Amino acid sequence: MVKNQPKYIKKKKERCFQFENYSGKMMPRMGPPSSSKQEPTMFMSFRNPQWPANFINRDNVLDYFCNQGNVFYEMNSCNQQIKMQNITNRSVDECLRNMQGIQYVLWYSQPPLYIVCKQRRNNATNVSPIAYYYVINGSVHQAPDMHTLVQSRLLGALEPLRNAFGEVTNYSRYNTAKGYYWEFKNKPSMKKKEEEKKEEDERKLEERSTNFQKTRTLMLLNQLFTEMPADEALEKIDVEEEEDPKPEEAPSTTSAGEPKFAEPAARATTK
Amino acid sequence: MTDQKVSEWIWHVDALKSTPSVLAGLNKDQELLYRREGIKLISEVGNALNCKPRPTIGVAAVYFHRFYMMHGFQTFARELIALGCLFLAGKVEDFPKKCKDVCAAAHSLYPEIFAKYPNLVDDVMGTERLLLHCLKFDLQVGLPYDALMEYKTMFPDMSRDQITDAVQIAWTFINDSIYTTLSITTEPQMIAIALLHLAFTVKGYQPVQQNMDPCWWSADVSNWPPQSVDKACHLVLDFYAATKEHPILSAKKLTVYGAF
Amino acid sequence: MSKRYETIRHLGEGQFANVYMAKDLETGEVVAIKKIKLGSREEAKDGINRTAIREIKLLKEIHHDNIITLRDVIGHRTSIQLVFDFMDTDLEHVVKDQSIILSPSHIKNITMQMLLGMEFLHTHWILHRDLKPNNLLLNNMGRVKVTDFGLARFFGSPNRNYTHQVVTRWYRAPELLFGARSYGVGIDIWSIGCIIAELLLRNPIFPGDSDIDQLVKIFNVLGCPTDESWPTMKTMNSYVNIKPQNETPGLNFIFSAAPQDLIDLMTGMWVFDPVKRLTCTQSLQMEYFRAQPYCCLDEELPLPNKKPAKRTRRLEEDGSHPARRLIFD
Repeated sequence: MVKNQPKYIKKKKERCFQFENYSGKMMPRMGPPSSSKQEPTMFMSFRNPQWPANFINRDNVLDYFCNQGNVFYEMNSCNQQIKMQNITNRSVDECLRNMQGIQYVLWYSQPPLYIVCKQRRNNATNVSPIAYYYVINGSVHQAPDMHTLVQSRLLGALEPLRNAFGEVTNYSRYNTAKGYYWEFKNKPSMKKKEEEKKEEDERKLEERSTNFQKTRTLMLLNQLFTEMPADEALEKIDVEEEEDPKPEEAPSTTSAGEPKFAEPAARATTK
Repeated sequence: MTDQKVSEWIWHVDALKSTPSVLAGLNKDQELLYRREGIKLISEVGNALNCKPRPTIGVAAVYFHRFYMMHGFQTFARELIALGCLFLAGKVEDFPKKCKDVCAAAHSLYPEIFAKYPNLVDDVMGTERLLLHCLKFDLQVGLPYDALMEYKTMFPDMSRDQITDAVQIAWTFINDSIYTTLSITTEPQMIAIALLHLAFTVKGYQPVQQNMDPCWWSADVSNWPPQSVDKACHLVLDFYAATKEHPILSAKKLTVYGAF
Repeated sequence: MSKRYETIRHLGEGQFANVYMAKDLETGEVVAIKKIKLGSREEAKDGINRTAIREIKLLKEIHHDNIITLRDVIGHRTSIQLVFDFMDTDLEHVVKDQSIILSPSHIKNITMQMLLGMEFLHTHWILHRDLKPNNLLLNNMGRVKVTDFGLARFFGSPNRNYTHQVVTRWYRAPELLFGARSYGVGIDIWSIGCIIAELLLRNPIFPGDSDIDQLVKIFNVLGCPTDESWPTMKTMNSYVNIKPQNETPGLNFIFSAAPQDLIDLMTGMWVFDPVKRLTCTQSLQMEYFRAQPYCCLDEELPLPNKKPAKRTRRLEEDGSHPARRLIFD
């Protein structure tokens, strides 16, 4: 997965850009416009070194998350408003239930893993989840959505395949006698072609044709006969000035029938 | 009485003929004199306390005139009401004067008039409450000075010196107009226009060119022909005429008509 | 009490007046009656209280949705009664009520109502001079109204000097702390900034114990003003040189959950030089009021001991409220 990152991120960036355009309102306004374009958060993480190790528990994990330095955390969220307004007489959950807007809630906890959900609350009974983040050993990451996950897996499967194909293509060879074949023993190089030619010349004397040649030639001829059947006369077009001494004689071989030569068993017969 | 009103605190000129004082036996000219005397008290005591025509004395004068559209001079002594108006106007306009200071100044300027009030401070505080009730707590009063300043820039055909001069004269007219009933018959903006017009007339200035509408105020005030404007000016001119020979309170004693 | 109004109960007592809840027998509406103390002769040395007069004068002239309405004034021999609309609670109670959470929409609504009321006052040349959560009333329909005009005054006359002992200390602008005798709308704007901060943090942001401590607390958050940022600072009457105790954390850090456009608004309201501070009108035109989340409806504001009305209203795609209809000049 690490290998795929450079290409993948590029694509993700484009997609992210579209996402931002569509619902740019949801992006937090913090600072001048130049900083409002957020880097895609999927591959970022947050860690607060000032918190001692193993200090995070179910009750304070949300505090750990709601940190200005956390790229996943929006400062204009309901959580931050509660903090800024110093509301201490009620639990944060109770306050959040009655507020509208972006909120962060603890979704699931099984130490050392905690899952925080970023949701948009529309009213007291209706929320729309936006994203999930998991905290593990003090590191906060964004949980990938299905699309990201599937795309990542697919790429993980296909990229090696693609590379393999690319690699293997370098080993494919062709010569007129043998056809296509693989040459794995040596590294591919241009010199091979010269050697191939020598081999070909030598081989010409030894055999009249290889099996490959025979099969291919037969196939080609059959194709030609299909296109130009023997029992049809080839017409000659009269040319005014010149008179062909033998106009009628068409180079037809109607009565002669098809040329006779050995056909492989499986070949389909022509008319 | 209400049908004689143009708005909450503006009365028709005719209403002056049937004020409570007139209905109780005073005649119109006598009432005018009583009014002037009250305003004189406000003006002199106010000056002694460093109050300015704008806004404290101006506002106090308006309160005075309004009050006596609802009550008669026979019922409420004008010297007390005058002090009450001044005291209240000070608070309203944020130039408050302590009641005892007001009373002290009154005693010192007009000892004979106020001799019969041994507890002047209490009396004045009592009138404050009375005034508030009577004025229905509508304490916010607009004065013509603001409108006058706006008109300063309205005359491109006049030279800068001319307009400054005219405005200065109009300002003085406004100062003196408090002695008249203009503030209860005419809106402050219209007072400003009338007295600016008077200033132009007195100095012979031409505010607009010959071929243009001489009623330069038509954009702001409709249905106000020059004759009506002149009528308003006459109130001020009449005041000057009347007091030239007989300055108000010259003897530091109140005029008394009849048994009042 | 007057015949028209029937007292229901006593609501509270202030420096100059007692406030009662009453029923207007003519209209059936509930009202609040402020009975101004006239006191004994020794106390009432100078007749009706100046601040009361000021309040009456101004309130009679002003009519705006976000300013308290003076319905009636009753003059008695022994008292003066001002009759107001009844308001159920005030912003101080909302802030102190821990069972209420103020969402960004709520805060935007309250801020907007405050600014609309103050904009009206300022355009009519009136400074409030004592803005604080206590003076921002709320009724059960969620309408915010500015009240307590005891210290308010008309401003704008040149060469008028004013006292600098105005505004409750925590909401006092630095020019007042430096003893300025002439000031303007900036002092109200500074207070509004402090109130917005209090809505966000639910605690006053600059709770100083003394004038000096107040300045220290301000500088600790906003940093020290420099000669460039506030050229006239050192010319002020009571100017003292104060160094901040520590590094300024920055508003983004303090108001961690606040959006940047709100931080920008508060920064503009807390500019040290009063001349460069935002005005109400400028504040209302800031991006904050045009951006999402849009401000909620008045009825949706959370009130103490009351569930706000939940209206089933179609939300936008991303769950935010649709834009509130406003008319921008």
